[in-house]
Amino acid sequence: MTDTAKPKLAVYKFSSCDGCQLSLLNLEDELLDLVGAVEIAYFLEARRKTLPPPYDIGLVEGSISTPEEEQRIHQIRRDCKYLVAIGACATSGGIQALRNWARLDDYAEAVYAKPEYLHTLETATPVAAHVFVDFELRGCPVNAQQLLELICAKLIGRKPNIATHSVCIECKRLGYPCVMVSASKPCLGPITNAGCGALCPSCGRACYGCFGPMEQPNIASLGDHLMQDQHVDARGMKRMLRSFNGYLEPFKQASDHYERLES
Amino acid sequence: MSDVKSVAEQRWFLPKSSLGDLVRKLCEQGYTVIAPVRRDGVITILPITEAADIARGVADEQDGGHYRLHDDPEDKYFRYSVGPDGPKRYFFPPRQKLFTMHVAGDRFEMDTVGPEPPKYAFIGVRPCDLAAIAVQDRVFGIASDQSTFRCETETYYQQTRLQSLLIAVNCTRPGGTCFCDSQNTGPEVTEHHLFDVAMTELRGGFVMRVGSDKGRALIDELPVREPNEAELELEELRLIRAREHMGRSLDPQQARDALAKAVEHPRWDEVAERCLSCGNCTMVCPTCFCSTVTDSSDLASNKVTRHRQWESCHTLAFTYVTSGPSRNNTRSRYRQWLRHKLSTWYEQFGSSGCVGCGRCITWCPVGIDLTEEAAIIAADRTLTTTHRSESEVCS
Amino acid sequence: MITSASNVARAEPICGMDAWLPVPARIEHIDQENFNTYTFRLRIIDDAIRRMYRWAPGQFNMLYVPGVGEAAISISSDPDEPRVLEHTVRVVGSVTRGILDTGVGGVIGLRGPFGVGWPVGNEIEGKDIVMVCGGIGLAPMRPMVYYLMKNRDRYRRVILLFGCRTPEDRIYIEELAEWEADGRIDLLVTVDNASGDWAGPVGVVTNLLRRVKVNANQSAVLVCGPRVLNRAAAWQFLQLHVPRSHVFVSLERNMNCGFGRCGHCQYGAKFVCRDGPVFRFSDIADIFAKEEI
Ligand SMILES: Cc1cc2nc3c(=O)[nH]c(=O)nc-3n(C[C@H](O)[C@H](O)[C@H](O)COP(=O)(O)OP(=O)(O)OC[C@H]3O[C@@H](n4cnc5c(N)ncnc54)[C@H](O)[C@@H]3O)c2cc1C
Ligand code: SF4
Ligand code: SF4
Ligand code: SF4
Ligand code: SF4
Ligand code: FES
Repeated sequence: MTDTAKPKLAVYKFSSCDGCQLSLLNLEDELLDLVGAVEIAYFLEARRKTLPPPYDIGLVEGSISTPEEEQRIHQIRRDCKYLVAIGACATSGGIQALRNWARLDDYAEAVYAKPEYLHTLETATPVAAHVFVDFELRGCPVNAQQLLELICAKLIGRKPNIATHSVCIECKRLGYPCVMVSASKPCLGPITNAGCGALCPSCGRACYGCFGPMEQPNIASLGDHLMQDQHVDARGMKRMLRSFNGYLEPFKQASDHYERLES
Repeated sequence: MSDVKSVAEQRWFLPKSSLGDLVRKLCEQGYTVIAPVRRDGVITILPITEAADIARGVADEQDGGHYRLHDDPEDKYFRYSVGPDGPKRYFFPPRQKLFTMHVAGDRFEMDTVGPEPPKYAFIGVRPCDLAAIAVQDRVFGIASDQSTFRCETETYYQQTRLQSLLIAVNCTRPGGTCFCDSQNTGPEVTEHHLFDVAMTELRGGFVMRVGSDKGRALIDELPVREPNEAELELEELRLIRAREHMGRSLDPQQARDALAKAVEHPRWDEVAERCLSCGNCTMVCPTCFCSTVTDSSDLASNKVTRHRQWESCHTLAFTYVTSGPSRNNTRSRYRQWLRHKLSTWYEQFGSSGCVGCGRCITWCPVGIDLTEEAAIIAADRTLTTTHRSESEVCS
Repeated sequence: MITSASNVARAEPICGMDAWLPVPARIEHIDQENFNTYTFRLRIIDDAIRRMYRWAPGQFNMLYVPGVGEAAISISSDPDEPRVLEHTVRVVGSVTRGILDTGVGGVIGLRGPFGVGWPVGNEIEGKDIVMVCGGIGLAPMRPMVYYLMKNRDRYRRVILLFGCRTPEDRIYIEELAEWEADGRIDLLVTVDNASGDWAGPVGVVTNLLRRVKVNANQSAVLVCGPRVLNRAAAWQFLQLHVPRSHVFVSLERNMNCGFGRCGHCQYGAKFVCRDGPVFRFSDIADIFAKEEI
C-alpha cells in the first residue's frame, strides 16, 4: 500500500489538558502499527508536518470554550469524514464545564490577575453541542485501548466494541472485590459507563464516574441508597455527580436535583 | 473397616495438620489447586500452593448489599460461606479467546484455537456451587442425560470440567443470604451432587467421604484414619444445625408457577424503581451463562481474534437488533433475570436456574433480594393460569 | 444428517471441531435485489463439508466477516438443490456491509445450519397454505415456496401474500413474475406507498386477506416479517378462527451463537436460535402479545 492510499488521521486540541492526546502517544507499540496503517496527517503535538484536508478520521480533544474555538470546530467538521470527540472535555464539556453553573466572572477574577484579557464563552460545551459527531469516546482521560479499538474498528469496518453498560460488569469480570458492598464506599460504578477497566475499584477505591453516565442509569435509586445507607448527604451527591462529566445529561439533571435538596 | 459399608457410606478422618499433604499431593499430580483465600476484604477463590494460603480464622457477615469479614475466634478454615466468585470463573472464563486466525486465500489459517485446558483441583467447593456446576454442565452440553451434537460442544469447557477434581466442604455456618436448603442443593453434599471428595470440618480435622473413583484413589494417598463415634456424631449435629440457620428461604415450586404466569405484574414496576441495571447479580450468579462474542483485529499482521466474554441480560446490547433493543427498560430486564432464574430455566434445562447461593442478594449494590421479589409475586392470589385473550395479540 | 428437506424442519449443524469455529465459504455470485438487498451464492470450500451440507426451509446460518463480526442470515435457496447455497441480505449495518464489501471471489465464514424451520410434511399436508411475508421476510420463505411448488399435489391452495414499503423495496422481482405466470401458487403483492407505474394493490399486507378466502379449519398460516406485521397477521388469522396450532411465525432476536449457548436470543423459555426461529403460535401464545419480552 502506498502512503497516499492510507486513510488520513487528524488530531485536534481544544480546551483541555492534553491527557487524552497523551493516551494516544503512550501507546508506543500500537502507535507504530497505527502509523503503518494510517497517515497521521495533522497532529501538532506529535509532528510538525501537516497534510491538507480532507481527513478520513478526525479526533477532537477538549471542550468548546472560546469564540475562536466555536469557529474552528465548524471548519474541522467540514474537513473530516468521520469525527470523533475524545475524552470527558469533548464529550461533556469536562471539568471546565463546572463554570456553567457559576458566573464566569467570579471564576475569572479568582484565578487570573487581569481577567479582562480572557476571551471565553459563557459556557464550556461538548463538541456535539456545536457540530454533528460520529462517535463520542468517553473517559478522563480516554482509555488508550478503547481509542485504538475505535480506530481499528473504523479501518476494518467493524462496529467498535465499546460497551455502554455499567462499570460493575467490568469490575466483576475482572474479579475485583466490590468496594461498595464489602467496604461501604460510595461507588458510582453502577451508573457509570464502563471503559476504564474498573480502575478505581481495582485499587480499592470507589468509582468517580469519569466515563460519564452509562445507558439508562438509575441515579435516583443509587442516590437513595447512598444517602440512606452510606450517609452521603445531598451536597455530597451533587459533588460526586458534578465532576468530569457533570454537564452531561443525566448527571447534570440529577446534580441539579441534589442541589435543590441541599437548601 | 467393615466390608458391608458401600464406598458412598464409608468415612475417613483427615487430621487438620495433614491438609498440607492434600494440597501437596494435588500439586504433585499436576493440578492447579484452587481454594478460598482472604483477599482485600473478601473471600475469593484463587490458585494456592500450600494449605497456609487457605483462608482461616475468619467468618463472614452477609445481607442484601452487605458483606463483611471479621476475625473469628474459632480458628477454623471454612467458617465463611461463598464469596463473590465461584468455580464458574475457571470453567467458563469471564473473557476467553475462541481463536486467532487470518484469511489465507481460500482458507482460514487458525493460529490458536483457545488456550490449553488446565487441570484444576478445587478445595472447599460448597454444595450450592457443586449444584451450579451440574447446572452449567447441562447448559454447556456435557451432562450425560442430554443428547448433544458434537459441534455444539465447546472443547474448553468440556475438557476443563472432565479433568477437574472437586473437593467439597459441607456448610456448617451458612451465610446470611443463603437458601440452599429450600433449593435442595445444600447445606450438605448428598448423593445427588457430582463431586470427588466431600468433607466436614471439625476442630481437629475433616470427616471425609468420596463421590467418585478419582476421589477414592486420592484418599488412598492421604494420611487418613477411621473416624471415631464421637466425630461422626459431631458431624451429624453440625449438619443438622446448619439447616436451621439458613439466612433466606424460597418455595421453588411456588415461585416457578407464579413467575410463569406473572409476565405482567405491578411488582415489576416497583423493582425497576430500585434496580440499577448494573448487572452485578448476573455476574456473580454461578449458573448465569450468557456471553457475547467480539472481534478484534491486529493492525500490523492482518490477524483477527474472536473473544467471548460474560454478558448480562441487564445490558441494552444484549438484545440489540436493527430496530433497537428488544428489552428497552429496566423493568423488562429485571423480569428476564428473575423469570429465567426461577421459572423458564426448568423448561430449558430441566431444573431451577437458582441454587440458592445468595450471591445475587449480597452483591446487589442496593440489596435487591430475589427471594423477596419472588415471594411477593407468588403471594398474589389474582394470578391466573389463563393466557390473555387472543384479541390482545394485536395490542 | 438428512438427505432431503422433504419431511424435516431441521438439519443438524455441520461446523468443525468446535461449535464456535466458522468454515470458510467463497462468494461465487452476487445478485442485486433492490437498492440495499443482495443475494449471495456461497460455495463452502471444504469438499467434505460441502457434500454433507443440507438444510431445511427456514433455517439460518451465522455468516462471519473476519474482523467484523457475525450475523444470522436465513438460507434462501432450495434445499433440494444443495449445490446452490444462497443468502439474501439486506445491508443495514457493519456485518451485512462487510459481506457485500467482501465481493465476488472473496471468502467469508459460515456456521450452521441452525434452528427449526417451517413445518413440512404431515403437519401441514392436505391444507390450504397461506404464507404472509413483509420485506426481507420473503427470503426465509423462498425455500418453502420451492418446496410447496415441488410438492404441489399434497396441498390444497397455496397462497403467498407479500408486502413491501414501496415497489422499489421488492426482492426477487423476476422470480415473483415467474411464480405468478406459473400459476401453481396464488401470489398477491402489495405496497404501502405506490410509486412509479405501480398498478397493484396499495396498503398493508394484512389487507390482502380480504381478497383470499381463508378456510379457517383447513389452513396453515406461515408468517415472516417485522414485528408489527407478525402481530397484525397472527391476530387477523386468529380472528378468522384459524387454530393457534396452525399459525407459524418466524421471529427475529439478537443472536451470537446459534445453538442455545450465548443466551441473547431468549424469548421467554425459548431460545429463538435453537427452538425457532419458526414457532407454532400456540407454543408462544402466553408471551407473543407482551411488550419487551
Ligand atoms: C434467525 C434470523 C434470520 C435472519 N435472516 C435474515 C436474512 O435472511 N436476511 C437479512 O438481511 N437479515 C436477516 N436477519 C437479520 C440480520 O441478522 C441482521 O440484519 C444483522 O444481524 C444486522 O447485522 P449488522 O452487523 O449488519 O448490523 P448492525 O446494526 O451493525 O448490528 C450489529 C450487531 O447487532 C446484532 N443485530 C443487529 N440487528 C440484528 C437483527 N435484526 N437480528 C439479530 N441480530 C442483530 C448483530 O449481532 C450484529 O452483528 C435475520 C435475523 C435472524 C435472527
Ligand atoms: S466496586 Fe463499584 S464498580 Fe465495582 S461492582 Fe462495586 S459498585 Fe460496581
Ligand atoms: S439466582 Fe442468586 S441465589 Fe440463585 S444461584 Fe444465582 S446468585 Fe445464587
Ligand atoms: S439471568 Fe440473564 S444473564 Fe443470567 S443466564 Fe439468564 S439471561 Fe443470562
Ligand atoms: S438486581 Fe441489583 S445487582 Fe441486579 S441489576 Fe438490579 S441493581 Fe444490579
Ligand atoms: S443465539 Fe445464542 S442462545 Fe440463541
